[in-house]
Amino acid sequence: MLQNCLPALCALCSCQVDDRYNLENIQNTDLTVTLFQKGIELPVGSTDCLTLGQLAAMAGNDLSDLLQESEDGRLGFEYADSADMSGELKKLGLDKFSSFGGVSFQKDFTYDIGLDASRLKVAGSTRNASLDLEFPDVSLPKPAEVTGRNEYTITLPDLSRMPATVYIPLETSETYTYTCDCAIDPIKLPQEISGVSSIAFDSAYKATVTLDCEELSGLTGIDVKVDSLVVEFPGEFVIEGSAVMEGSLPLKGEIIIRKMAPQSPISSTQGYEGEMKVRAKISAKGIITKDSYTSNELHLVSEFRWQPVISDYEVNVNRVEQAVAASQSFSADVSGLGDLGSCTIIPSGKPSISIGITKPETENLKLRTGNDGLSIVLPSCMQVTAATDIYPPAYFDGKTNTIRYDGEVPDKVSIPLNELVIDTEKGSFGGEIAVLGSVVSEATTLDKKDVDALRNAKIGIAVSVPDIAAEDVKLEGDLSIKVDEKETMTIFRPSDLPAELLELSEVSLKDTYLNLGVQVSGLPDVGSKGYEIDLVATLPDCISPSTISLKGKLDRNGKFSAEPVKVSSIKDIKLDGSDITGQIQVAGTITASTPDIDVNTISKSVKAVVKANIADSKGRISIDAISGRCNYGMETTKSISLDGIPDILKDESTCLDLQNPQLNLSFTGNLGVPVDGEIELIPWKDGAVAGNSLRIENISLPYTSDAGKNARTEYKVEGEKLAAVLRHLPDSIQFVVTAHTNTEKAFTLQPDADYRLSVDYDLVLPMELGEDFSISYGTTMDFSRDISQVMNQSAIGLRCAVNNTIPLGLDLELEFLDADGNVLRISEEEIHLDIPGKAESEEKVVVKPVQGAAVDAIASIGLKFVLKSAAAGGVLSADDYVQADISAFLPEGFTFNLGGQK
Amino acid sequence: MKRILLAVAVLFAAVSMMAQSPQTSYLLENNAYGYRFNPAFIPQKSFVGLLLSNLTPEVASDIGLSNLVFPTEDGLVTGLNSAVSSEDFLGGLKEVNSMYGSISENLFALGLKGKKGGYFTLEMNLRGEAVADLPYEGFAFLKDAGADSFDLSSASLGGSAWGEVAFGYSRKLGEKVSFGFRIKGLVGLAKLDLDVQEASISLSSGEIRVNADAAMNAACTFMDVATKSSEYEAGVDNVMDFPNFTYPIRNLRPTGYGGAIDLGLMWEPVDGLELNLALNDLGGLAWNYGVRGRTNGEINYKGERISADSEDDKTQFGKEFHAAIETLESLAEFRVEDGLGWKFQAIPFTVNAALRYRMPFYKRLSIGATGSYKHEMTIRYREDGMKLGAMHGRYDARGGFAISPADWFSFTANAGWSSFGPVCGAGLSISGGPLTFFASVDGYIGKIATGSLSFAPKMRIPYPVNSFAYTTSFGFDFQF
Repeated sequence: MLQNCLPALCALCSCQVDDRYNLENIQNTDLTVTLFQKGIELPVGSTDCLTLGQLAAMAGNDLSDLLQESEDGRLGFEYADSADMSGELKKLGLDKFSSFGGVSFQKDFTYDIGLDASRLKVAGSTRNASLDLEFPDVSLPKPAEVTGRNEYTITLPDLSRMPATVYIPLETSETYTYTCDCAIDPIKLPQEISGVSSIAFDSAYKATVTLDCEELSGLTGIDVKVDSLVVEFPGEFVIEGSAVMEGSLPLKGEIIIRKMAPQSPISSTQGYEGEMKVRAKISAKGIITKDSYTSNELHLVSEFRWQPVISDYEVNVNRVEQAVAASQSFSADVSGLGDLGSCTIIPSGKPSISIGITKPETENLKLRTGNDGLSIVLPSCMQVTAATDIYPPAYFDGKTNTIRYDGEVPDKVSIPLNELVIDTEKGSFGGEIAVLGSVVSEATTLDKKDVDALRNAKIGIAVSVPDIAAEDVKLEGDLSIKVDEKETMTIFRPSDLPAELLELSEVSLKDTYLNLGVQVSGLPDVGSKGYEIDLVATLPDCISPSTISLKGKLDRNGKFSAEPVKVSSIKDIKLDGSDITGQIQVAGTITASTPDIDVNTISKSVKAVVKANIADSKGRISIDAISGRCNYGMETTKSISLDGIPDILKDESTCLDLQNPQLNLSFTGNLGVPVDGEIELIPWKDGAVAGNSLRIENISLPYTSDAGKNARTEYKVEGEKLAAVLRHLPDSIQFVVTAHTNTEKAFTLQPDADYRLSVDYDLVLPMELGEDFSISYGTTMDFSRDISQVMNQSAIGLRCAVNNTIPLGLDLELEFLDADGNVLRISEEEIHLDIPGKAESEEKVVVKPVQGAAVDAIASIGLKFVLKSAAAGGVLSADDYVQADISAFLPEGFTFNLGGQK
Repeated sequence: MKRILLAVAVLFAAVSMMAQSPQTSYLLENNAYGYRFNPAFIPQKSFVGLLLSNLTPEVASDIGLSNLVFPTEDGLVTGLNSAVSSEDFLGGLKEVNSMYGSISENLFALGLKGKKGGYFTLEMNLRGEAVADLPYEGFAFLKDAGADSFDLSSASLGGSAWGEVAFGYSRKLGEKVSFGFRIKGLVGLAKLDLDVQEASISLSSGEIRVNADAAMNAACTFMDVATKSSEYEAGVDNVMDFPNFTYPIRNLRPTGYGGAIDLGLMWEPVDGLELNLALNDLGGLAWNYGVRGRTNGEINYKGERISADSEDDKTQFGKEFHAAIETLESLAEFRVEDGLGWKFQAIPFTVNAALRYRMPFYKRLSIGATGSYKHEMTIRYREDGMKLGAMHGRYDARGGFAISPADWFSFTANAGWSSFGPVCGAGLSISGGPLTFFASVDGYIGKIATGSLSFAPKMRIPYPVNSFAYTTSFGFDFQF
């Protein structure tokens, strides 16, 4: 009953029973629900304004490390690395220069030290010397021309209006006067000349006076005469003949002016001023008619003209004293002395030295000795007998071997010799004869002739030594043997040097010494004092040091060994295939100090052996450094890997179509050999040559003279060929270096040095895009489990709002991959987003699984990015950026079954 | 889900079976409990009741089965099925969809007529109520997410139980007017509030923002709070572990105290016509909230921030998303906080009005109308202790008749409109000697469905299809 009552009770309160909602139907309710059925969008993420550099950093692969920003903000890839090519230098075979064979020299010399007075002779000779005498010179300026001119008019009656010819008598006389300035400016004279007292003129240059009247040619009946014409000169002038003239017109007269003697001499401050006066009296007499003249005025013109030319002059000269210091080297060959260094010769007879003195004198100028007198200084090797033997007589100072004259300057001096002292250390017999002191010329007047004679005047000294024979010879000082020997020594033979050497500029030696020694035999016994040796060995110029001193005492056996001298270098050796030789000279003396020995008993023959050796302890010449020129060739290859460049840039689908790529090569090394050549860059990819090679010519490897310092040469390679090589980056670049030494440049090698060579290469790819530029990048994302769960139920979409200022478009392609990486066909259409460059855009993609799509098999999502040039010429800047707001959306909501089944 | 739907259907069926309400019972003759509707009501006899003297359950809901499942050609589907349009699903929902239940169990009742015309009542009751509010925007979000933002802060869940001792007095003031009052002493037994102070979801293509701030406040001495460590935040070990809460009833203690007053007035302007006006349950309890759990979080998910300094690790991709999900999940974790302590909260008060007119030609027949407005004030407390209030009001108005063909029998029926839609009610009272049985039901008017339960396969249980409100009241008493 209750079960029937309840519905009835409910019916009281309700209007209708709806069986659709009965419990059975509710139990069978389809629990499939779709949330957000109008679609829901979830933000996936927003990016900052990501610059290319930041994008590159996010992409990993070290791409950002390559991205560089230039000063103007442009971007570019830059890949720099280096490769060591030191091993390639071994092929030069530089070890050949480590050492050469040693140098040795030995030579015997023989000396004659026996003395015989009968063989001793001194050859006479004459030596001339001169001393410039600085006498003041006079140069008078050319005088200016003296001119004067005057015009005068005689007026005649005017007959032109006369009706007929009339005759009119005329008689007139006129006198006129004019002057001509005659001046001489002050003349700059040497201080020794006080003035010019007179000047003589060349008579060939006469003064002329003219007087004329042009109208006279057409005038008849009138006689015009110069009654007198007088030229009046100043009193300082001396003329020849008369200065008065007369006659008919035209009148011309000449006057010879001989001389002028101013009252005050013309000097540097005083000139001369005067004037010449011309006075003329003219008379006209006759009858004139209308037809007899053409003008009623007669114009008379007179001119005076004189171009003086100086022919002589007289100058007043002050007292002049000049110092005299003249010397004359004198030497005379002494025969018969042998190799003995010094001795004293007693000449036979009484030979004299003659000294002639040539003086510049005129009649008006005579020279005398000055206050210091005039001295003749003789060398010590000439011993004068006595002062009284000197002519003209003079004061003689035996200490200084000086002869002095006061007063007259002698024209010739004769000096008798008592002894001749021979000292071979100073060369042969001889010395220097000097004339010292001063000469004076008193104040006087000189004419032009004297001045010309004294111009460039010299004092001449002529020294004459006659032939002298020895009456006797003495050894009063040291027993000295003069040594002066020159010989040729061989330094290198061609076989000692590498054949590639063309020239050796310098070889710096290491631990190499010159050992020099002398062995003398046959010397007279001089007792315990023994012999001192004082020699200088001069090696060939190519060896440094080239001068070695041997100074010391010979041992009992006559031997002397010099301290080994370190030889630093050998220089300037010409290589022509023959032996390299040089001259060695040994010069000096072997001396026994004041020996008590009779010179006549000395053996004539003394033998000396000179030994020289240049080597190190091993008998070789060890080289520290060598410079010169050589001729080598070298060809080598070096492969440079581009592993440091990310694969993304070397991908097959990547095309670096860039407009201005650059390859900067920088070779660094310490090689001392100049090497030129060329480099061929061959791109390799996957073990094979990829594309055309690039040849870089005129390459010079760095070289430096100091192996301790590196040198560098840099080269920039650019252009279309390089762009073509880099369009698809290779795995490696093979450097084929074909090089040879530069024979024009010197090399410097240090055999012990560690020679290195490296190449730094800097590949600069400015992001100036060509139209084919593209970079591909692929990756996978493993969050497919979530994705597949969603896609099993619903379509899923992706929306990107992108603000892209980069001139690169992005083509993003998505693929669903199974666990083996195989592409699964999930949706009907390909899934990709095409985001344009330099634009704001909103892109959307929806993935709606097709019926039966293996959504559950999705293991990962493959993403492939392709960056493409938006337009040719685009430039990537550091300020360019991309900003994206990314959201995922379920366009039809999310469907699932609450009961676990759809 | 199907079980939930089934449970809802059974609940509705049970409620509909027992429904009765004061509005309806007020018109019944021999109804000793009319003073509950209007304290000025003076029963005809003295009475006494014990345990089953008056049981008044009430249940109401803004949403029904028709709002959740929809018939299609292929059968029933949920409102979230794509076969159901957003307009059909969301069109039947209100801005706030409430589900309300209450119960009042009379333990003891005594009514005595005074010597001077007064009437005294004394009652002891156990009362309880529960309310849940589901915001419209929650459904809208799940259905199509068609708006930019969704405010879920109107969601709430709460319940309370208290004991009540009421003393009433009524008497006539002259011939025409009666008045009455009841003074109630209230003892709180348990209270639980889940307040969602802030909850919003904001959607856009670039951002998802979820903001939630909710607190559970409990005044319950017999609830032992279990805690656990947070699954999402290291170092936090005071997360409420709800499944492991225990409720040792032996620890039951008063946890609130309060009082209330009912005031009533009855006027008979003309003979046979009664006008009633009453204000009931004006008062409240001060609850001692000893337990507080709170969750507070904000999700502002803008997607992954992809910047130049992001770590280059694709495992990091989605980090933000997973962090947001974790934050979202962590919002289910209530962290134990210090209890709010003593907080006063009003109990729902009611304003009742009634009109009854006894037919002059037949005094045993009367017609009447009742109107009731129940005001529920929900109190929420912010973190800083500030009290927030939310007003809920439900009204019910109906007209009906009552007939008492004999002294031992009375019947009434009515119909009207309420906040939940059309309502109707019916009631009866039967007296047999001093024993009087009464029952009334106020309920839903609309479609119903039926079904059988597994334990009673032949019983067809009706249940409402649309929104509903049911109140029933029944009991036995001894009148003398």
